[in-house]
This record gives sequence, structure tokens and C-alpha cells, in this order.
Amino acid sequence: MGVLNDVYEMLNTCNKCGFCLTACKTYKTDLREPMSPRGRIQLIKKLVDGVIEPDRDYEDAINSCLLCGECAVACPSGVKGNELVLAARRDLKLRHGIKPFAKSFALKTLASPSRLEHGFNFFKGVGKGILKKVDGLDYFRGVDIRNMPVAEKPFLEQVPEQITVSNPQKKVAFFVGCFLNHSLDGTAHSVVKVLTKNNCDVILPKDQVCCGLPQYAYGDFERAKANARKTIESFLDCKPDAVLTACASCGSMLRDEYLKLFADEPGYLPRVKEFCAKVFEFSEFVEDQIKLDESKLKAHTSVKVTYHDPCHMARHLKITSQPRKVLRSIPRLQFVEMNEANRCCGASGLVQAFYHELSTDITRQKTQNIVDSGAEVVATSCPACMLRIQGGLNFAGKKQTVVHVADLLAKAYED
Amino acid sequence: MTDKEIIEQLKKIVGEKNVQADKIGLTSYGYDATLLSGVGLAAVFPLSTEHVVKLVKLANEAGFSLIPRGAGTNLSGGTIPDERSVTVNFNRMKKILDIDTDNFVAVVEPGLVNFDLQAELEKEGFYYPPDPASYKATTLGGNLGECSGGPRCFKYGVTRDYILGLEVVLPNGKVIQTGGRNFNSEPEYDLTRIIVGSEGTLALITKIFLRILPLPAAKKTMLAIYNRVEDASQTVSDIVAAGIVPTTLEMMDNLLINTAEDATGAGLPRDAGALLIIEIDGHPEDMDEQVETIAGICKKARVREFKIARTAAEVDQLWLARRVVIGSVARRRPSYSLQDITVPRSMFPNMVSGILQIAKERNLEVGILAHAGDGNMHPLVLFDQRIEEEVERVHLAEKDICTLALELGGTMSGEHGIGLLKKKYITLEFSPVAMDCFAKIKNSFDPRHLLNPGKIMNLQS
Amino acid sequence: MSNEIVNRIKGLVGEDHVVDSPAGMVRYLKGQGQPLAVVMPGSTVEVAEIVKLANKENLKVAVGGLSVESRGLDGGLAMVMSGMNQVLEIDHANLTATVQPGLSHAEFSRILAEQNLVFPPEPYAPKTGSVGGCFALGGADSQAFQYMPVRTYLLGYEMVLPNGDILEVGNKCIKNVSGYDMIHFAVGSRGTLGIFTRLLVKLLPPPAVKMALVADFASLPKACQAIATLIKRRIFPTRLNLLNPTLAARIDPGAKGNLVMVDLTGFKNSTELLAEEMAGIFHLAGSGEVRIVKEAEAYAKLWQEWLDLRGELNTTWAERVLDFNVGPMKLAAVLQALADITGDLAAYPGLVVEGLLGRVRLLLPAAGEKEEMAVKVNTLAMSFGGNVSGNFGSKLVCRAYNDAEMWEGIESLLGQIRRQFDPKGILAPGVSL
Ligand SMILES: Cc1cc2nc3c(=O)[nH]c(=O)nc-3n(C[C@H](O)[C@H](O)[C@H](O)COP(=O)(O)OP(=O)(O)OC[C@H]3O[C@@H](n4cnc5c(N)ncnc54)[C@H](O)[C@@H]3O)c2cc1C
Ligand SMILES: Cc1cc2nc3c(=O)[nH]c(=O)nc-3n(C[C@H](O)[C@H](O)[C@H](O)COP(=O)(O)OP(=O)(O)OC[C@H]3O[C@@H](n4cnc5c(N)ncnc54)[C@H](O)[C@@H]3O)c2cc1C
Ligand code: SF4
Ligand code: SF4
Repeated sequence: MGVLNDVYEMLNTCNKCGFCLTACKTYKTDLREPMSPRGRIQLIKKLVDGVIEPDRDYEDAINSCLLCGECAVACPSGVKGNELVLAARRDLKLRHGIKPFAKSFALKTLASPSRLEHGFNFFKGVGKGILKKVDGLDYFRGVDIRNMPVAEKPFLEQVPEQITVSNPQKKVAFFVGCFLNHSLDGTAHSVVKVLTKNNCDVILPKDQVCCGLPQYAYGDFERAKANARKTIESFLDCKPDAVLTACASCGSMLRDEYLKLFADEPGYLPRVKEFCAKVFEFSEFVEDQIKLDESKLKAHTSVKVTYHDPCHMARHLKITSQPRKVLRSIPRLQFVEMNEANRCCGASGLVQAFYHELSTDITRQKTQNIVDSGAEVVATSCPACMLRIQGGLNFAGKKQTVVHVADLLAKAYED
Repeated sequence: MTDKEIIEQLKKIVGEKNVQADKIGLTSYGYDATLLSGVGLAAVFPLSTEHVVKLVKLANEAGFSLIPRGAGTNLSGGTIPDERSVTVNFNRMKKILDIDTDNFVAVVEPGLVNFDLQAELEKEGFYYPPDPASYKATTLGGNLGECSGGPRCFKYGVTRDYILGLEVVLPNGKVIQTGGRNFNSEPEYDLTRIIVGSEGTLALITKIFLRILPLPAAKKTMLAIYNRVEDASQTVSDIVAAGIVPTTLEMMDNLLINTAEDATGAGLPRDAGALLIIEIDGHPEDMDEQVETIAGICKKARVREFKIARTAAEVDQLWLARRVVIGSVARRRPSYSLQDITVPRSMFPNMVSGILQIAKERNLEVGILAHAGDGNMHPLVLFDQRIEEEVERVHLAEKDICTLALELGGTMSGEHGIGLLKKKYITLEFSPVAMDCFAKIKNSFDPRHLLNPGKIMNLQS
Repeated sequence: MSNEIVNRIKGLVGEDHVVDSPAGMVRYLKGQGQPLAVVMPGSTVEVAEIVKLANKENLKVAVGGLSVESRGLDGGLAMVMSGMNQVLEIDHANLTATVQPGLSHAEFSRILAEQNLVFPPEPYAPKTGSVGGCFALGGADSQAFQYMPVRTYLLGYEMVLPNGDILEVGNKCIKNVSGYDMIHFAVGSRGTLGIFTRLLVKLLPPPAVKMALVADFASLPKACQAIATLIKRRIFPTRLNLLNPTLAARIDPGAKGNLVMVDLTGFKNSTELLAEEMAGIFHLAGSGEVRIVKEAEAYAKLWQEWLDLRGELNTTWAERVLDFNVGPMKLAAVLQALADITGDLAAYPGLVVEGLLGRVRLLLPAAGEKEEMAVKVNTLAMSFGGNVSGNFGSKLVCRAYNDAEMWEGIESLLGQIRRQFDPKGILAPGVSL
């Protein structure tokens, strides 16, 4: 119970005003109180107070949260619903481990590079077929299975450990992350291209592992810490000027959550801080650190692009202007805003797998906003969002495509 | 019928997915924005008027009561269930049925969120004036239930002034329409008016005909800071007497200026006695003249700082303190109790000093937030709900505040309603004859006390 | 027996305040009924005592300002409130007034004008209407788009209930949601719920400037078009009324055709600009002549004439008037369709349109079937999303929908309320709900 007692002060500050209701996608979609920030917070409080038991329904309330952080922005009293949910998940993990089995299996798989690679290989081989049969559809839980990209070979196996340029201005260690490594390797190549075109040496530590966010998000702090420690050590070892990620989720984990994760290890904390200070998200790095030379960008066919702010970008890393600036700097790219650009796409790690109806409804709102904006291409900064939104668009029979900001920028360096 | 049978029947009416009867679900419908709570029999989500009619008929047969609920943000204990009640959540009945800007009418279902309506109207250059501070979360059904007001109401009036007609399900299961699409379609008794503000105790609202207006062509926002609260109230009286009707006259006292400053660091003077946000709207050609008059009035009342917003960003800046103020008190103490008294405008300074006196006597921190134009004040009494003895003192202070408001010729509730919370004080405000009239109204609509029983007043069935 | 009752009443209010000779009563009565006596109470307590007596003796009681509707009042009491006609308080700081109900509406307006204040509701019948009657009748007048319906101006009251109890509700606060809204519920109850004995009303400061526009239109559709244009351009004057030629001639003997009457009140700059802009719009729309009336006396005279006309419609002609609302932008179409039923509207006995409210009043010929006409007009109004107003209207709507059940629902609820308050059915016998 310790974890929840630690946040009791915040639980007690929630005065049930409901201002967060409209901010929460799970509530606005489902409209039942336990699917709202206020509902979740009150349930957590009632659990601590001994009024309720952590039964299935309770777990559903806690585990269906997208951790999108919208509620924290909306709350006038400074209550952070997402942090409270995180604490509640940690509490559940400590009570009885992670349930159901499928979820704990998934989290373990993600944590281990070799298992993860096996997983993707399996998926590339027979898995797709099996899944198709299961649902009788090409879509499994709102994910477009047939069109889901899988890298022929993990990105890290395609590239050397170090790529050097003639006149380096910075030495950048690239934290690739699971999705870019195994699925969207093209985007990883785009990142490398932009970096090298801007005179950066790129280091690609081969022993990099999952950042630990999926485990952290479900309260498995032990596994998360193991991966975090590994990440910190292997990247600091390369002595880079910057640690770069092109995944908003990894970014928020590497830069913000590691500090919280290691708050109980004061001895190690300085090293964590040293690491965190070096972490940059792709657009942020390009805009703020290397100052894009727009004259080098080449015009291609004109295209109308909108931007989706991943939750971890908008509310955790708080990076919203830089990706837009990058996009606007690309010649003949016509930028349009969509409605609710910063609202969650519905992916949220394992929520899409375990609460797929809810998640699919949320994605549908996102794809509708995209269609309404009139854009042909959606750019974003998180591979999880990319896959989710592309799946949603395909599912709805729309022809818009989803790319990473890095993909569009890399293209502008092509002839 | 056993509880289990009732739940089975409910599922038959609205479908499995629209009933919640598990422990977690019921806990979640047991609270509102007060400290009260309870646990009901079940929570249901009707999707149509037909569903509501069937629910009412079942309630009559099986002898349980119904508690209408929107977003559950009321500050009166108005949706607290008991073990014999089923909560009727209207938030899945949220369609906009018609927006007729030509004829200034919108027709909506009660579960629609005020903010979602405003967003749609704004696309057409229109709006619905009643704007409770909680409008982003609250449903129109709930707004009608409490007859909500808001900052804009000084000029534009409260919820009741914008309701043209209703479709309701009566406690006997009959559906009636009251009023219509315009002012003149009432039958003799103004049923619409008695249902609006009846806190879900007379009828279940299933459709609402609202009056909508075009967005004003021009708006001006001003901020005035005073050394003394009295000077701020003098300003308010003088502005009204000058024939200017601002949309908004929001006041914050010294304590709230300080908590807001803690939260924003925007540079508000911590020793100021009061801050006034003044907003006017209307024809662009009339703005300057009014701003000038207001500036003169403020000066005469010894204003210490007077600002006029010139850009949208500056408007935002002027509203900053007001926007964060309710939350900002959480930095001082975790809980607050938000009172809702209203006094005649001329009694405003007396009420302010009276509240500060009560705070002192009860040894509590109280900040005052007010819609000063209409004398509606929200004293925020700060406390920690875990300290029982302090909660006791808060209750005493609440009673003191209500009593004082009544002594000054005011009312306990300007916009939040009575519900369970202020029921114990209601006889302070109303004579036995008035209470008897309320009972007659209730008994005419709901002789079996099926709807939201125990709210507003106690009745023998 | 009846003599004894009259004597007891005389004992209650004093001999001078009771009239019981048929000849003496005539000037206080409307309609054919023959009450026992006309009483003119001077205080709340007297009213309460009379009502208690009536309750005990099962006498019907009807109330009026200067005169009383005597329908159903045979053997009952007609209570004339003109003895209770004082302004008890004018509160400038809170913009309220406390008045007795028998105060004449016109007199009240005059007193307020001296104090530089305004009570916006238009009198129902300018010559006889009382402030009590104003709220007992309720409704919305031609300024309601800007000033809201009559009920908006009632903040509280003292009322003698049918059982003789005295009910006091309300206060000087505009915002008040404590308990059921008895305050506004009483508005429009036409004396069935109780007898007002004191009223607390809301006042406004006067507008900075007032002016009027009067425009002649030979063609009714073009006049409607002009109104529509104003609304499209979001020009919302205080009043925007249209009269057909028959009625126009009463207000302005020189009027050529239909008359559009506009009242503009507000701040100086915008009002002057708007007057010019509207005059332009009217010209373009085909008005023969547009007059801007700025001079105070002419302005006052114009609107007094409007009020008198309105009074006629409300009283003398009341039985001949069909009143319906469809919404402002549907006026042109609805009038065109209406002409199919009535024939040329220009020659019709009367047509009044309150443009901003989308309200139409049709004065039927003195002779001829009225109910049948009402059904036709109502069907038309309903096809435009409106209906003939008032209770009669609700009934017609229910009939048109063949919704006997809904009508029964409404009627039984209204009846239930009336019975709860007045179980013996003594008050306002002439009013059927
Ligand atoms: C921080 C904060 C600020 C607030 N600010 C304001 C403010 O500025 N002005 C203001 O007026 N209020 C304010 N409120 C109070 C509250 O938000 C309003 O009373 C609001 O209208 C309640 O709406 P709801 O949808 O939450 O209704 P609920 O709380 O769910 O219900 C309110 C009442 O309406 C009844 N009801 C709901 N739906 C129906 C229906 N379909 N038919 C019949 N009855 C129904 C319920 O039974 C209940 O009695 C504030 C509250 C908070 C917490
Ligand atoms: C369908 C219909 C038909 C009509 N037919 C005619 C007609 O043929 N001839 C005619 O002259 N008028 C007629 N009228 C008008 C009606 O009689 C009105 O009462 C009258 O016109 C209003 O006159 P007043 O302004 O002098 O009213 P007031 O005397 O001020 O009274 C108006 C109404 O208010 C009520 N009232 C007055 N004072 C009080 C009080 N203190 N407390 C409670 N209630 C009070 C009265 O009972 C009355 O219903 C008709 C009205 C209707 C609706
Ligand atoms: S983090 Fe997002 S999904 Fe979770 S409660 Fe908050 S707003 Fe809802
Ligand atoms: S989390 Fe914040 S916004 Fe949500 S109910 Fe609690 S106090 Fe209100």
C-alpha cells in the first residue's frame, strides 16, 4: 500500500469537480464514470480507504487509462490523474503481479531484445496468418495486421555501430527504440540521413534495449529499472553530445521518468541526471540544437500535411512548436492544423490490445479529424501513433498516409 | 421484485451495456462535487425517451426511486443515491437535434455537454449564454436541474431565461411537451419554469428547446485592482447606475489574489484588497464610450491599477488569475467548500465584511470569489477533509454564512441549488407556507416521491 | 344568507369598500356574471380574511385591477385591487421597486420615468391594466427579444393563497435558485394560484437614446423581406413590428399600405448608425417612405398608439385574435401560405407581426366561424414548426398530433396543481386551464 499512501495527498486534493471529464478521451468515448479521471482517482482513493477491493472492474478502470496526461492539464487543482493511475498500476503489480498472463507475457517480451526479435520474426512468418484467422479479418483489435510493416532485418543489424561525417559539429547517440528497430526501419534511416546531412556523427550502440516504458507503465518497476540502467550505462559510455530519440514515448521515459524511477537511489541519481540532460527528441534537436539550414532543402511535389501531437510529445516532453516549424520549413509543403491535434490517438501501449473497442473508437475520432483537415499526409513523432493511426485510416478505407516528421525532412534532402 | 430481478429488468429496457450494477460502478455514481456519498441499486444509461418512459414505469411497479444525473458536478448533493434508487445517467443522450440560427433556437438532448454545444454553435457564429464555470464538463440537463448561472449572467440572465420548452417524462410515465420553440407557446402554468431548477425532483428532462444568440460583435475586457473591497463594490454599483450592463463583473478578494499569485506569479499586488474583471460587449461603436465611463468610475472609486486589454493575448492575461483561482486554493489546503449565497447588490460590502468576520470567529481561511454584478458570492472555505474537528467548524461557518445572507435580504443559493447539502437550512429561508407550496408542487407532479427523493426538502409520503 | 355574508365582508373591509347594488357593480365588471358584491380591500390582511371567508362559505372569488372578469362568478365576490395601489419603495441601488398590485401599469411607468428608471413590460391593456395583472397574465411582448418576457421582471411577491395563507417569496437578488421557482411559476397563472398583494419588481436604467423608424410598404412580402434582411445582418432593434394596411391606418392615417414600426434604443453611436443603415435597407427593399422619429414627443406618441392597438387586441378583440409563433425567418413564407386561407391579407381586419419574435396575430372578421379557422391556422403554423399559442394552442397541437394521451398528461397535471392549491376551486372561476 506504500505506493498509494505516497500519493494520498494528491488523491485527497481531488475535489471531484469534474473539470477533467471533458479532457479525457476514454470518458468522452465510453461515458461511464469509472472510465474518467475523476472516476479512476476516486476508485484509487476508495481502495486506499478500504471501501473497495481491487477486483476485475477496478483493474479495468485503471488499465484502460491511456496515460495521456490530458486530465492533469485540465485539473484546476493540480491533480495529475496519469501519475495517480501509474501509482495504482504499481500497487496492483505489487499486490499480485501483472495480470492477465497475456499482458505480463507481452511486457516481458518487450523488455528483452532477443525475445522481441523472436516475436517479430514469428509475426512476420506465421503469426499474421494466425491472427487473420482468429478475427476472420485483416484487422485484429483495430490494428491493421496485413499492412503492418515488419523490418526484413532489425535496423540495428542493417547499420554500422558508428557513422561519421567529414566535418562533424556534434556527436549524436541514436536511441532507436523497439518500433523503429523492428517495424519502421525506414524512419530510422530517415533520422540518420537528417543527422548526417547536418554534419553529425551518429553512434548506434548495438546493445541498446527497450527504454522500459511499457513495463514502467504497468507497474513493473523492477524490469523497467533493469532496462533503464542498461540504457544509461551503454549510452553514457559512448560520451555523446546528445542522446537522440525519434519516439516521443521513449523520449519522455528517457528524459523525465528515469528521474522518477531512480528517485529512491540517491547514489545513482547524479548519473541518471547526467544522462537525462543529454536526451533530445528529433524535432526539438533539429530546431533547437542544429538550426536547420533551409536553403539545403529541396522542393518536391506539393503536399498538404497535418501534424498529430503524440501525448508524450505534447504533455510530457511539452514539445509542440518544433515539429511544426520543421514541417513549415520544407519547401512546397502546405501545413494545415487538424482539430484536436494533441488528443490521444488511442494506441497507448497495451490499451489498444486489451481495450480494443474503446481504443478503436478513439482512433476513429482521430482519423475523422485528419480527414476533415483535408490533409493528404499526417506527420507525427511517435512510431506507436504512426502504426495506430495508419491502421485506423486503412480500416476506414481512407487514403491518407502517416509518416514521421523525419521521413518528410529526409525526403527534402533527396534530389 | 428482488434487486436482482430489477437489474435484469433494467437490462431488458436499456440493454446490457447500459446498466452498471457492479460494486465499482456503483461506487462511481455515489458521489458528486460535495463531500457526500451513497451507494445505489444500479446505474443506467437510457438512450431515448422511450427508454426513460419504461424506466419510470418499472420504478412505479417495483417501487424504487430514480435519480437523474448529468455529469455529477453539482455542489448540492443533488445526485447522491440511496440503496433504493437507480441513477439515471443522461450523458449518453447527447444529440444535437437541431440548430436553427435563423430563428434562434437549438433543440438538444439533456446529456449534451454545455461546452460541446457551444463549440457547435460557435461554428455558426452563435452561442448559448448561460456559462457556468464548470461548463466544459456539465450537461445541459444538469444545468437545467440546478438552473445554473455563470459569469456572463449579469447581463444575459440564467439558465431559466434561455429555456423555451421541454420534453419531459413525468413520474407517472407520461411524456409531455412544455413550451415550444419560442416565448409564447406556454400553456397557463409555466411548467417549464417550475421544472427548471427543480433539481430532478419533478420530471425527467429528455429534450430541451434552447434560445441561442449571435455572438456579440465586439467585446472589451478590463481589470481593476483596489486597495479596499468597498471601493470595488462602489465601482460595481456606479457602473450599473450609469446604465452600463457589463456581461461580467468578477471579483476576487485579498486571499484569492494571493493564492492566484502563488499559482501564476503574474505579478498581482499581494496587498491589494480586491480585483475586478469587467467585461462589456455589444456594438463596436459603443465600446469606447463605455470603457471611458467605466474608467472614470473606477478612478472615482480610487482604483489603484486599471488595465484595458488590447489584444486577445492581453484578454487572456487579464483572465489568468480568475481562471486559476479555484484550483489555486488547493495549494493552501486540500479541500474547499464553495458557498453560493447571493445578496442585494447594495449589501455586498456588508456581506464581504461579515464573511471575513465569520472566518475569524471560526478560525478558518476563507477566500471570496463573486459575480459582483448580481451579488452572487462564492466564499471558498478552506480545510482538510481528514481533520474532523475542522470539518465541523466548516459546517458551522456555512450555516453562519447562509444565515447572514438571509439577514441581509439575500438567498442561500444563487445558482448551485439546495439538494441534500443545504436542505437542513431551507426553513431558515422559507416560511412554513412556502414549504407547504413546495410540497404541493411536488405532490402534483410526483405523489409517490419517485424522483430524487429527499432532495431540497423532506416530505412525508 | 347572502346579505349576511355581504355584511361580514363590510365588517372586514369597511362599508365604503364594498359595492353590492347591481347598478353600482357594473362599472367594475366585465362579462355577464352576477357576483354578490364587489370588494376593494386595502391590505393584505383584508384580502386574506376575505379569501378565508370565501373558502368557508364556498364563494367564488375573481380579481382585477380596475375591473373584474365576471364569468363564472355568479353569487361570488369580485375583488378590485385599485385600493392597493401604492409604490412602497424604489431602490435605486438595487434597481428594484416594491409595489402594491392594484397600481396601474401606466401610472407606475409615469412615476418611474420621473425617477429616471424603466419597467420594460408593455401593459396588457394600457387604460385599465394593473401591475398585478401584468404578472398574472405574463407572456412576452414585442420588446421581448431584447428585454425578455414579462416574468423576467418579477423578483418576488406576497400572495394570498386560495386557503387564505400568505405566501412570501423572493428577494432583491437576480440570481436565486433556492427551492422551487414559485416566483416565476406564478407569472401567467391568471389569478388561479392566489392573489398578489405585493410585488417586488426589477427595473432598468433608461437607454441613452431612443428613436423610431416608420416605413411604408405597399407589398407585404417585401416588408417581410426587409425584416429578414435586418435579421440576416444581425440588426436587432428593440421592437420590429409590422401592421397590415387596415391596422396601419389606425396608427398613421396617412399610411400607405403596410407599416413597419421600429424601435431603437441603446447607446448613441450605434443607435444613430443603425437607424441610417436600416433606413437604407428599407428603401432598397421597396419601402415608399421611411421616417426617422427622433423627437421625444412624437416618439412617445407613436409607441403609445402601438400600446393602445395592442390593448385592443388583448381586450376588445381578444376573442377574435389568433396568435401564433413560427420564428422570424419563416414569416414571409408563413404569411404567403396564410393568405391562401384568409385571402388578401391587406384587406383583412387585422394582421400584426412582431418580427424579432416571429409572432403573428391575426384579427378574424367579427362574424364567422372561429374554431374552424383556428384549426386551419394552427395546422399551418405547425407545418412551420410553431403553433397557436396559449392553452388553446396546446390543445390544438395535441389534437393535430392525435395525441390525446399527451393532452391528458398536460391537462391532468395542470388540474392536479390547481386542485392542490385550491381544492375547493374558489379562485378565478372564469379561467379554465
Ligand atoms: C468547480 C465548480 C464550479 C462550478 N461553477 C458553477 C457556476 O459558475 N455556476 C453554476 O451555476 N454552477 C456551477 N457549478 C455547479 C455545477 O457544475 C452545476 O450545477 C451544473 O449545472 C451541474 O451539471 P451536471 O451535468 O454536473 O449535473 P448533475 O450534477 O449531474 O445534476 C444536477 C442536478 O440536475 C438533475 N438532473 C440532471 N440531469 C437531469 C435531467 N435530464 N432531467 C432532470 N433532472 C436532471 C440532477 O438530478 C441534479 O439534481 C460548479 C461546480 C464546480 C465543481
Ligand atoms: C381568451 C381571452 C378573452 C378575452 N376576452 C375579453 C373581452 O371580451 N373583453 C375584455 O375587455 N377583455 C377580454 N380579455 C382580457 C382579459 O379579461 C384581461 O383580464 C384584461 O384584458 C386585462 O385587463 P387589465 O389589464 O385591466 O387586467 P388586470 O385587471 O390588471 O388583470 C389581468 C388579469 O390578472 C389577474 N389579476 C389582476 N390583479 C391580480 C392580482 N392582484 N392577483 C392575481 N391576479 C390578478 C386578473 O384576474 C386577470 O386575469 C380576454 C382575455 C383572454 C385571454
Ligand atoms: S491520463 Fe488520459 S486517459 Fe488517463 S485518465 Fe487522464 S485523461 Fe483519461
Ligand atoms: S482530478 Fe482535478 S479536475 Fe478532475 S475531478 Fe479531481 S480536482 Fe477536478
